[in-house]
Amino acid sequence: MRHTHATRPHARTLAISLLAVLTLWFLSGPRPAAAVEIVPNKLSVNGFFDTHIAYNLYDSGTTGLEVDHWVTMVNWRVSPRVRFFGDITLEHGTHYDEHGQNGDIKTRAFVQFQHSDAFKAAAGNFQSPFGHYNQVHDAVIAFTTVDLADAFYADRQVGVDALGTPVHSHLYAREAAGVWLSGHALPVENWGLRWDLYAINGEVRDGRNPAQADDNANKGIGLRTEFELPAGLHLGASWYSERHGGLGTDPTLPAPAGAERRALAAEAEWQIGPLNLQGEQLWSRVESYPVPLAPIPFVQPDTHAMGQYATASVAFGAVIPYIRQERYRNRWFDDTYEAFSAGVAMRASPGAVIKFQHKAVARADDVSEAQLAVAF
Amino acid sequence: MRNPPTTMLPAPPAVPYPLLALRAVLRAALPVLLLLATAGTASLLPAHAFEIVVNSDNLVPQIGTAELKRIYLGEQEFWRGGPSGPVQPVLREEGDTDFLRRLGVSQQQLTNRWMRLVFSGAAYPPHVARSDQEVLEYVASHPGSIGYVEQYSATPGVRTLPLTD
Repeated sequence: MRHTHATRPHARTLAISLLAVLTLWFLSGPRPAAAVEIVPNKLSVNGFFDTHIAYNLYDSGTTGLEVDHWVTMVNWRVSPRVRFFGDITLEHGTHYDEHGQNGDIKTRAFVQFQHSDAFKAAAGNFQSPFGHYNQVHDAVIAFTTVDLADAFYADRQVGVDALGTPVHSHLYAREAAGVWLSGHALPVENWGLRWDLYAINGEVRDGRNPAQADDNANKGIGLRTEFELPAGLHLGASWYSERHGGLGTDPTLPAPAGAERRALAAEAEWQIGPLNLQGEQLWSRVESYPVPLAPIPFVQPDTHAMGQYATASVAFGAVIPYIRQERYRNRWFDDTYEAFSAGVAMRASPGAVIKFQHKAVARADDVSEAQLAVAF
Repeated sequence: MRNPPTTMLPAPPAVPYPLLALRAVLRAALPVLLLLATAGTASLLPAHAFEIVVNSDNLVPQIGTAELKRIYLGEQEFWRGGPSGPVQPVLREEGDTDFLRRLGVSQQQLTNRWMRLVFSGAAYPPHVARSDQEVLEYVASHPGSIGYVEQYSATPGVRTLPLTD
């Protein structure tokens, strides 16, 4: 369930949208992922902006203009083998604001030591490498659909607090502070292996959930591998586990000590000429999670959750029609979410994309959206 | 001496005017057709209509298409047997069709790939050049860079890199 928030297109939001669109449209130009090079090959600034108008996005019968992201990223080559990356994100209408607030500011920053293609080490705050798209920072210009699949990437109900209030979270730590090791190897010609290993403090934000709280007592570890096979086929798997520490003893908080979350995901992508096929499957479970106010006190509920999606798209030059089917199920709450999306993405230039999408949601309102994203 | 009667000579064959006209056109067009055929063959003779260029300090003797593809897709960030620093691929605003065909990727795929890399913070953004001259100037001043030009003109600090299969 998404949080309700204001959707009125007030003048300030509209003015900021238009100004930003015009500015970035001029900056973007017909170039692929170009950045503003402050010092060539040393310091660059890039980013993106996206806005959309939607019908029924959060409430029935509402039409809202949303300014979703305004992101500025900095890349600094400190030395040939040391790189700093940082970004500041201004979000409006964030999907995972637990307090119903309309805006949010996020920061991300890490330093990466690059020994070789086979081994890199980073420390800082980063989006955890889980699944295919978790690292792209909701940059809608980097994927075909209007939004990432809710069944996989959005926050879902994962438990209840001591008062029985639903608690929402991602099924893994979407971003966190910690250490991140990665590499890319070519064991056989035309075959590639990409790997990521990270140890983190659990999720930085949205701490009110059974197993994720940034109280420095919630440790997580994750692993991701991706096999690059010939003929454009990529197969990947992600695993994540975290355990809440001893600080969550406050009975009013939904973070009992010892609660453990485990998540496993499989992914596949196949590029066959202009045809792109992609899908992901996720399984998640919270263990050692007693519920004080359950009908039978301190019972261990079945917290298995499962999310999946499959997307197909065909590129006719700069016009890319697509379809997506997604499904989520949580056994504890018998929460089932199912949606089918169809749309078209049109790349006005390599730095600007316009998308139209209609999403049919089972047992809920259909959502129609038009979106504009500009990158520089 | 009597001249033979002219009526004894064979009469020239009567050629219809349309056939005469066609023959004239073919005769006139033959050199043009030969020229076009030669030109077409000549354009197919070289393996590619672009040149790979690197900094003259780069001692890599040659590069294969597979490695070139990995570099331009951001999958290989460091030289093998070349400069110690990272590879700096120079992209073009309008991707050369022959170059992209050689790599087996479309301009759309190349753009999407770099979008994902850059917005995930996984890679330093590549330099994008607008012309051959800009490619040559950038490569001359950056030892780890690699680019491609449609027409190579000798530039101090730049050399061509043989492309193998």
